[in-house]
Amino acid sequence: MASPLSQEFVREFTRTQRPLYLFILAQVGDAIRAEEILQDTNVVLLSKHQQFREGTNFLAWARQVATFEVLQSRQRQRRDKLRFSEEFVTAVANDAAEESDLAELRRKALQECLQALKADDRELIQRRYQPGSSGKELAEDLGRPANSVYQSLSRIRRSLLDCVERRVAQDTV
Amino acid sequence: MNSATRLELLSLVDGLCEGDLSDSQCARLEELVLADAAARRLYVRGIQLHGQLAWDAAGLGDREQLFELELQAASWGEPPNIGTFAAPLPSACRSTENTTNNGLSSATGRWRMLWGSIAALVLCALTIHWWPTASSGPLPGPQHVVVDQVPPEAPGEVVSPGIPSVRLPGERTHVDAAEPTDIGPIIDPPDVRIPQQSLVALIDREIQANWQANGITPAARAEDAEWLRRVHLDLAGRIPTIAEAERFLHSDSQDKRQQVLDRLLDGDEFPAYLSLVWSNLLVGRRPEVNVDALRGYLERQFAANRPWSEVVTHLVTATGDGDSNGAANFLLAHFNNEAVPATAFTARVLLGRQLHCSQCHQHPAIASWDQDEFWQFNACFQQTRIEEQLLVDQETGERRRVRSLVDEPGVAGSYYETLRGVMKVAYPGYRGEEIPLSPEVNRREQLAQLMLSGDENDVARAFVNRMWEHLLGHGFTLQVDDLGPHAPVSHPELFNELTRRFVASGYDVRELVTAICQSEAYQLSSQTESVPELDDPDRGTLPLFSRAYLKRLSPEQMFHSVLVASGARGLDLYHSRDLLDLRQSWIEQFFSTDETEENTELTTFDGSLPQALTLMNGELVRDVTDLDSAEFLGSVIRESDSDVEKIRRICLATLSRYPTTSELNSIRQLLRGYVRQRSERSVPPRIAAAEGLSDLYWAYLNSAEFSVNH
Repeated sequence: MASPLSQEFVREFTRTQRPLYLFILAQVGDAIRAEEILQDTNVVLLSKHQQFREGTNFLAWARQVATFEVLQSRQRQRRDKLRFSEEFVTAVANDAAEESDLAELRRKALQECLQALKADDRELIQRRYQPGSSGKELAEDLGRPANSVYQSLSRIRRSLLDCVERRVAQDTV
Repeated sequence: MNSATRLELLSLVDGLCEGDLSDSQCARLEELVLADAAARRLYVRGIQLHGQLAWDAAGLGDREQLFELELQAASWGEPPNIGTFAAPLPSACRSTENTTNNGLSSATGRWRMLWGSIAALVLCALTIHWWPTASSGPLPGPQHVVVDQVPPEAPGEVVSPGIPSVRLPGERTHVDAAEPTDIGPIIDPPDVRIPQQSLVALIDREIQANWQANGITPAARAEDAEWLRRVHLDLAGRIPTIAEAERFLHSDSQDKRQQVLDRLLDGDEFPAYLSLVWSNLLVGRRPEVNVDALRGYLERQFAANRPWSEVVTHLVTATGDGDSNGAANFLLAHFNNEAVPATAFTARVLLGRQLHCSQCHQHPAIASWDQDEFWQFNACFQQTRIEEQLLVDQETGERRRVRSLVDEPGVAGSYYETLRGVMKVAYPGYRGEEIPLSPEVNRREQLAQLMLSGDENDVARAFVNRMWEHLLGHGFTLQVDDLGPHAPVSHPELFNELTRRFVASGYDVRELVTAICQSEAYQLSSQTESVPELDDPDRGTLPLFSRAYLKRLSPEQMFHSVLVASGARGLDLYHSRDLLDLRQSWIEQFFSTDETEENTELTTFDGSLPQALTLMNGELVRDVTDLDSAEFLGSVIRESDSDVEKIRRICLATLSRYPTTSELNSIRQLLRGYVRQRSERSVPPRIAAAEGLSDLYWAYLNSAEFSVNH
């Protein structure tokens, strides 16, 4: 029988989910696989929760576990199914880690930027990211050519990216 | 990392998060990211933004709260069911493929030229400001401000205008082809009904939808003068004459653009110019074959609006010598080196496919385009050989070599060496369809049929893209003759539909050209306040046609236009033997051919300095601007009443527009200064004024504005 999780652990664990997911995603480039690896990581984190010492950096610890899980997952994957090369994964891991530290900051900025979007654009991007939705389904729902919907999404993402960048820059100055 | 790379990278990231990045795109993404720390950072930010949006459904959900509740509950009992942590994530968005890796950065500064006279320097200032996109300023940085976005216009539905007139294949104006009809079966256009919407409405709807999707406001409608010059250069290969320009600019008719379009399309110059354009593509500018016969053949076909499928069939199946069968010159020009160039040219020019790369290796992006495919295609030409005869000309007594294409029934394949050095043989086929190996089967006829089979084939696709590029400055792909799954298409639905309709119309060239010329995109100005970042094909984005792209004049257009600007009357640019010879010798300065496996043509005609110097100091321009010999200039100087009128006429003759007020004022000031200066050296004012006007004329002919189709 596992010992109960401490309050502190639950709080840290919860807070870490998003940055951890983003950290993994940048290395595998695939939302579904990133979710799978996150789950594997979570299993390890939960089973080793007693190793966690309060006051230490939970996210750093979790990232170590995740890095290992990314590797494991790559080894399980057939070679030809691998998206990215070893070199690529190693190269982005550092940036992915640094960026995941800023996840909360970026989340807030993104909230504001989403509010600043034109209503139409906001609705479009929200419908796209509704759980279970996809660009293709969205295009069918809207009755617009798929290509044009993709282009719109692409444009909105670009402006969100720029907007988040600006807000974060302002906040940190 | 420049802005083109940035755009390319972001579009690859889009493709990645939509889950449909091809292997080659993935490799490209890696390449970009590994090359540059800034690119690496951008990649991580781009993909993590996607992750953020996915994580909490673009701000609608809050998964952390959910988790916390779940974990709190679980921590008092059994370890939590980890499966529930994974809320269903949106699985796919799709690629937009907005940009590609060809940084076609045009050295825009190259339109500027070095000028040698005072008048030219001032004019330079005048015309450069005219040229917003030609200045080589710093790259536009990212300018997306979310709150500042220009609201797109209301998504107005384009109403399809009534029932369009449908021309059934049988009703096509039937003009008996003057061409040998025994050189292969003519594929009957399939009997497919044309869908409801007119071509023009279809084009406009799709182009507009893309503008809206990208939040782009198109350029204003082109001024009459700008449009008139463009349509003459595109359809007749020359600028409008001063009379044509005056008539059009002063006309109040509502449908005057349509009238000009009709006049040009029904005129003699359109088929002649189109045949020139296509003969350049098919055999180049310095061929060793009878290019006049080829042009004559094409011209007759275009004049009678024969189906393009018929032309392609003639070109691919031609037999006989190039003098009596004009179509034979295409293959005659490329039958060297085991018909490898013939294979490559047929694929590239007629099918829009860069097959020649797979002559020696597999296509880097498309696994099915391998060596075998190239050599199977090549084997289609292996029943044919060239026969040479020495003929004695009856009149001159000169001996000439005459080459003919002769089909010889046989079963030979093509032999080639693989990358491992193994000799292999390929038997005739086209895209996986095999052609029976039998002496009775004429492989080239079979090939033509296979190329033209299907209601959306490569022949039609390649032609549509070519004509689209010819008229609108860019094809649907960044490289007009490189189609395939690896090449992103700017308007996939439109491109497919145009191709289908072109086939369904019986490959009706005139209908396609007319529709593009009537489309909204063709009416737009080339001038914009600023170039939209998303529509800048010169910097590697796919074209969105939100303005008219600048097209540099071809050598032929340049030659014709200088002659037209000289005011010479009654010129037959396409049939006068003297002019054709003059043009050929002028053009040959810029071109040379390599008889290699690809028969590549090298050109120095690129708007560079040597070309500018050839133009400025060459006989062509000198004859036209020389006071003693120039007919037009003389008449302007003698007959026009005032200085203002003289300047206006010179501007109209060269640039097909009237000078702007400020332009006019500066020129007058300049002229007065020049006359005063010369008077001090006791040159009579009348002569000095004429010299000044001659300078002005010369400067206009050498201006950036003249050398570009805008």
